[in-house]
Amino acid sequence: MKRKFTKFIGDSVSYTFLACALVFFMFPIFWMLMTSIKQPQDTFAIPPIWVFKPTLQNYIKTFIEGAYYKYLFVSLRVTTISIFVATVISTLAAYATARFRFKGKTGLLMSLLVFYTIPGIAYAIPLYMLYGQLKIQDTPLGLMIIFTALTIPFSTWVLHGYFVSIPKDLEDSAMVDGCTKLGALTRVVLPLAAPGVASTAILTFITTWNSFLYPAILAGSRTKTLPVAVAAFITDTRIEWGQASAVASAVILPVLLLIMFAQRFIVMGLTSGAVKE
Amino acid sequence: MISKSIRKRIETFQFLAPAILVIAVVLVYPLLSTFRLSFFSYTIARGLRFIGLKNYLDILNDSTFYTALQNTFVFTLIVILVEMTLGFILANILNKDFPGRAIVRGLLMVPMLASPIVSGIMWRFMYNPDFGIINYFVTQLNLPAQVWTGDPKTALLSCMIVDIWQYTPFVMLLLLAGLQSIPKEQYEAAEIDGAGAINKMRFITIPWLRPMILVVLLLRTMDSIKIFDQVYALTGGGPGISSLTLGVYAYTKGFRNFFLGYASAISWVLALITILISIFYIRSIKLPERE
Repeated sequence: MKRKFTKFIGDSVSYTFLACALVFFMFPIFWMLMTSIKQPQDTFAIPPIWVFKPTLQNYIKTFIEGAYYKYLFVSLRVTTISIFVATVISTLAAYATARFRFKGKTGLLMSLLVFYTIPGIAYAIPLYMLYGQLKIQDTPLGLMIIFTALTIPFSTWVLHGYFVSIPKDLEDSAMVDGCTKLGALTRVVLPLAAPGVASTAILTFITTWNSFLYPAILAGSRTKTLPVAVAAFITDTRIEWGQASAVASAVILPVLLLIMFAQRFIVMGLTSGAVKE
Repeated sequence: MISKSIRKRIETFQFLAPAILVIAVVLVYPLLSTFRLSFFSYTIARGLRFIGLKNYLDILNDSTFYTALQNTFVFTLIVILVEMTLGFILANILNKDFPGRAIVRGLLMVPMLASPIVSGIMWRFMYNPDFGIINYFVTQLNLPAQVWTGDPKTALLSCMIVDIWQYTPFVMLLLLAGLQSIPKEQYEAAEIDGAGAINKMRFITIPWLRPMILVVLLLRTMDSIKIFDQVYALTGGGPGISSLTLGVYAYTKGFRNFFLGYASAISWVLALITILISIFYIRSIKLPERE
């Protein structure tokens, strides 16, 4: 009896805590989405207006009238291509580190982690000068190059872990049947590693989609990405918070969709990215 | 007739070449250039001039640098303490079975996957002293309204709150994965031996979770030492230099004042700190078996 009672108290405390945590972690996102669909005159109302007739005015003002759709397209295009290229390159590299014996392999794997952890600003200054000399600042190509490069260390590291966990026997028999290494990779290993590759790609997609420092430094007016467009609002003297919320929501909505439909993959990528068992 | 071992080497190289090439050109080369630049003075008017160790000596005498260093360490220490504690509690709650657990986990994942710069801007709107929702809640609770990001006393704290909001879920998720890997039989055996909740925590949960706790701790430390986006969006390091962190300081020196040499030196100090921590990190995780 006493035991049941303590359990009940414990559970109540736990779930109350969890409920408070949910409110704390969800509220800012909820508030931003709400602000983005409010009438402009309600944006700054205190006490806040909770019930209102939603409007898409802020989205129309920015994405259509302000031509922000261009930034959306830049973000989508640059992110998708970078992640595609980086995933292909990383898959090849990770297959080599997982399957071939060669000198300096441990060092290579470790340096991947070091590159991944070095702060962005340490690469940024020379890249900024180099991009100026090569005349690739403010071009989609310039952004794709840096995004691809920043993605490869993490991707290769995570994919290496997936490939190691796949039994080798299947490839061996495929190669006995006359398959090349590349053939074994694409026909035997990749189908088995598909969930791992997908989770790595989704996770790096989100990181690249969200990133700010590099596009802020290396992109100009022609290749502004959505996060840079959001940040530009805060330099205005009178910040249009309604419109800023609409653009900010557009950055977060695709991520919300990915969490809704690919949560399992994201968790898998995050946990295997941090530790290897 | 090419020997088998050379053919094998060529094959290995073919797979690795694209990755190594991209990393060498786009990451290693800039990194070395940053190091080289840190021995130069660069201004738009006078271009590049070699000045030896002067940038590093200047750093030693730069009180702004020390403020940024101190802010960075205070920031890191506090957010990590709070994030680890909250994340550990939440992971333990989510480790129980209850209806809607997957949905709750999904919802809690939103902050850590939201764009850091966007999060900063979102919170800046809520922190606004005049029309922000946070002061509305605060005054509803009969507490004094704050200027938050606009007050030197609360600016760094405001940034910490955002970081805690954003990354506690990350800590929670990884610790939850750690908890789920603990074999259930361990607890069952302990229960038969009459162990209570506290003893189960002490003798099973904590020891099993220790490697994961270490990994999360190091990952979070590296990330918060290089914090940039959120602080940039919330305060830009201000008011004054009250919330300046090393990342924001390097950025400001480099891309606001265009002292690229000095900024490179600061970046290298920052990079060295994270590289040192990453060595601890690498040693704490088991590298996957060689083949």
